[in-house]
Order: sequence, then structure tokens, then C-alpha cells
Amino acid sequence: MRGGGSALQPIAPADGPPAVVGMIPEELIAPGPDRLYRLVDRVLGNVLDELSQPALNERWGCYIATTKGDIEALGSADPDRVRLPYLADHIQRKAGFAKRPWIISNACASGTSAIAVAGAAIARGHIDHAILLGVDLLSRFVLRGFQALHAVSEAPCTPFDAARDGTSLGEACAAVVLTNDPHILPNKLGTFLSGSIAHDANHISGPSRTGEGLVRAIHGACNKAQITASDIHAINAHGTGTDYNDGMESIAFERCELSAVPMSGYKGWFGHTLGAAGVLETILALEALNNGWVLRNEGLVNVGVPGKVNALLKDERASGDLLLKTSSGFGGCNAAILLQAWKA
Amino acid sequence: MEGMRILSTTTYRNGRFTVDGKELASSTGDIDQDLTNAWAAMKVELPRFVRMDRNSKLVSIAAAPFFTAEGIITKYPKDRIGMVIMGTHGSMETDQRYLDQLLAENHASPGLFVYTLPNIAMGELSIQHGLHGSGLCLLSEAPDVGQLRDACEILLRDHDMEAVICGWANIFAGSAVATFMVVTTGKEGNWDNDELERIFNEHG
Repeated sequence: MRGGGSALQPIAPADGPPAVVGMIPEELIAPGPDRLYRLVDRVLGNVLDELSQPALNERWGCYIATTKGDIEALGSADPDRVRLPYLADHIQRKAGFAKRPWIISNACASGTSAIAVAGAAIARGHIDHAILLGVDLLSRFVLRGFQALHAVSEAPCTPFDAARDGTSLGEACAAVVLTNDPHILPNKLGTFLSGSIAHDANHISGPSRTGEGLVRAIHGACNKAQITASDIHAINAHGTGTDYNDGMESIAFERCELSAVPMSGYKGWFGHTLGAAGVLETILALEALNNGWVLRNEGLVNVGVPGKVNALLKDERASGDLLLKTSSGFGGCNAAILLQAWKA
Repeated sequence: MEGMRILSTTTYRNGRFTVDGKELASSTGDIDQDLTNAWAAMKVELPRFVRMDRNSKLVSIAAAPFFTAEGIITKYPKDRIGMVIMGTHGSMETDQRYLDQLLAENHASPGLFVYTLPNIAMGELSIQHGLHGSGLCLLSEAPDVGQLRDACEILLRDHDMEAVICGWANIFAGSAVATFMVVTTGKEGNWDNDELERIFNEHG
């Protein structure tokens, strides 16, 4: 991401308006009806190969973050696969979890919510380790819906830019292990400190104008970890590229006295990956910090949001290791987590 | 050691609606009529009800008795009330309606699309009653009492909630069932996994 540019590319569907989207390359996962399950199997397989303690007994939890799962199977010959719990059962069988995996579907805040819940479950002693998996694929179902809401940009999305005019949809499957025993992991990304979820109680498909839920989520996470705004070194925002979302976030960050903190959203690179976004973007933001960087907002030229923010136009050297990750979604759901990079 | 306490329970089974064992509405056999009748039996304002999808209606009704003037939840601050909602099919019925229209007319309805997420029912609940608290929308093949308990405990003890509206709601293929409760912490816990399994199995 440091050297390269956006991976977003134009598509021209036969039956709908054109769009710019982020797709997983065919050489990584071939097209076909069970694409979601093959992708999940592959990512899960990579995680299990890395673990030195592969027996997934009752001390292991699994938290799956998704909004639409295998929605493309709706109306197909095998509609059972659309049911989100079907994915949980598939993963339990495939990986051999003793406990039934959780499916967390908090709209576009699913991934960040799942990390917040898994972190609390380990802190509480419910479990010792967890595999977190976020997954959502591109679908006509979701693309046409976002287009109907006038939320999709015709060019690659440019979060926090004055000229932004919508998001770009993407797809991803991302997984990470959370554990109280770091010895079981060969590669360490960071330490989970705290998490919080809050609701706007305002509108089902638009964020609160005042950022109410996000402010509450950020304060909740900070209070729990006894961290103040001045301790935070980087913000990885939701940054969808829509007028309302990015405006709301900027107001919330200013209200939380985070205006000076280097801030970026990653959707200009690969699009909005919905339920996977929180897991994917947290991994990448921690990886960047571990290499000493806070990455830019790809595509951002002129910052134009109502709240005062330090939205990065260029990659910047990190001044520390403390990351705030936020996500917001339909239903007025907001999630915030605090993490410390491992080596920054 | 404080325990998990269940303060009040509502059940809805295809129109038959009970609050702490007392029947408020009975079944007519028509899924939409039943939801509307149960709504009418409530002494609580639900101005958004008429525009909701069925899943949101079911969740709103199942939780409504907690919010009446004498309801159990009114003594808690609204930013300290959390929500944990679980179901099998989530928004699948609305997903199908949205897709049918998309395929038949090549028209994506924005009004239907916003209801094609299972957590929208939780969002409606939060808007209806001004709840700013934490919330989790979970999906499971069958009611998972262990996950519900862990989720409530996390909201009550880690997310600073004082009470959690916790429930199972499922609407699909002409069947609508829900079991909702108010969960808090108290000196004597009464959360009994076996008893809850029995209630969920009996009432769906």
C-alpha cells in the first residue's frame, strides 16, 4: 500500500449502472457458486497452519463478522447457504471448533464490534483464544442497494475529500487471532486494550449529524483503557467516502479532541468491505504502525469535512504505537477499539 | 458474587403474545394482522411501526412491554440499556422481497434495501426508545443460551450497561416467534441455562 495506488477498478454490469469496485483477484479465488466458502476455507487454513496449538477446544472462541454472507445464493438451487448460521456451522466443521462460532452482524460495524466482543470475552475469562474472521463479498444485491441510496461514487472513492461523492464497494475475507498467550503465534501484530459499541438512536440508514453514537463509543473505549485523547497516535477511521459518514466522523473526532491525531481511512485502496472492514483495516493499520507508518487516505486531495481532523494526504512516520479504530454502520451502530502496535 | 438476573419475559408465538405469563394478544392466523394486533395491545407509542419490515416489527413488539409507563426498563438511564438480539434468518424474508423486485422489475428499492440487514431491527429498537447503549446482533441456527449469556455479561460488566434487552426473534416462511427478557445483575442470579432452553424450545 505504501508504494502502490488504489486497486479499485471500473465495472459495467449489463443490467445496472457502472461502478468502481475492489475485487479479490481471480488467481487468488476462482469465480463460482461456492466462492465464499472456498475463500473462507483458504483464509482459515492459513490461520490454522500458523498456530502452534491447533486443537480448537472449549477455550477457543470463533467470531465471524459479516453482513450478507453468501447472499448471491439467494434464489439459487441451494438457498440454505444464504442463512448466516450456515457459515458458522461450516467453519465449526472445517476448523474443528468445540464451541459454536459466533456470527456478529452489526452492519458495517460488524468487524470492529467482533474484535471488541472477543477482547472482552478473553478479558472476562470466557475463553483464552479466539479466531476473528470478517468476510463479505461483492454482490449485485448490495451494489444495487447502495446505488439506489445514491451512496456509490462513479470514480474511486475519496474519503474525507471535499469532492467526495460516495463510497466504492469492495470484498474481503480477513482473519486474526486474539489470545492471552502470545507464544502460540509466530507473528504478533499488537495488543487489544479496550472496545466499546454505542448506538446513534437517530436514523436506520444515515449517521447522526452530531456523531453521537461514535463519540459515545470512543469515550467508552478510552475510559475503559484509561487512555486520553492525547495518548492516541493514529486513527484508522471508517471513511466510506459518503458525504454524511465522513462528515459525521469528523465531527465526532473533533468532539473527542482528536483533531490533531493523524487520521486515515483505507477504503480508497480497496473499497468498503462491509462486515470484513473492521477486521481487515485493523490488521493493516497495526501492520503499518509496526513498520513505523501511519498510511495516507488514498485519493485524498483536498480535505473537506465539517469537523477539524488531521486527515493524512501522505504517509507519515508514526509518533507512537497507540491506535484507535472506529467503524459505523446502518442501524446507527458504532464501534471503537483501542490497540497497541507490537513493535512500533 | 453478583449473578445474572432476568427481570421480565415476553413471548410471541405466531400471534399469541404473553408478558410474564399473561396473554395480551392471541393468534388470528394472519401474520401481519397478528403483528398489528399485538402492537395495538401495547400501551406504548411506536410511531415508526407502520413503516418497519416484519422482523423489526416482531422485535419492537417483543420488547415493547418493557417500555410501558410501569415497564421494568424505565428506571434505567437510556444510555445504560444494551441490546442483544439473536435469530436464525435475520432479515432473509426482506432480502427475498428486495431481490424479487430487483429481478422482476430491475428496480432496487431503497426503502426495502435498508431493511436487508439483521441488525436494523436493533437499530429500530434503539431509535424508538432513544437507546444509545451497546448492542449485538447475533445469528445462530438455534437459540444459543450460552452465547446469549456471554453477550449479556460482556455488555453488563465490560460495556457498562445496567440492563440488557436480550432476545430471540425469528421470522421466516410464515412463522414469527420471539422470546425477550430484561437481564441485569443482582445479588441473587436467576439465569438458568436449562430453564431458558426450555422456554426457547417451547416458545420458539
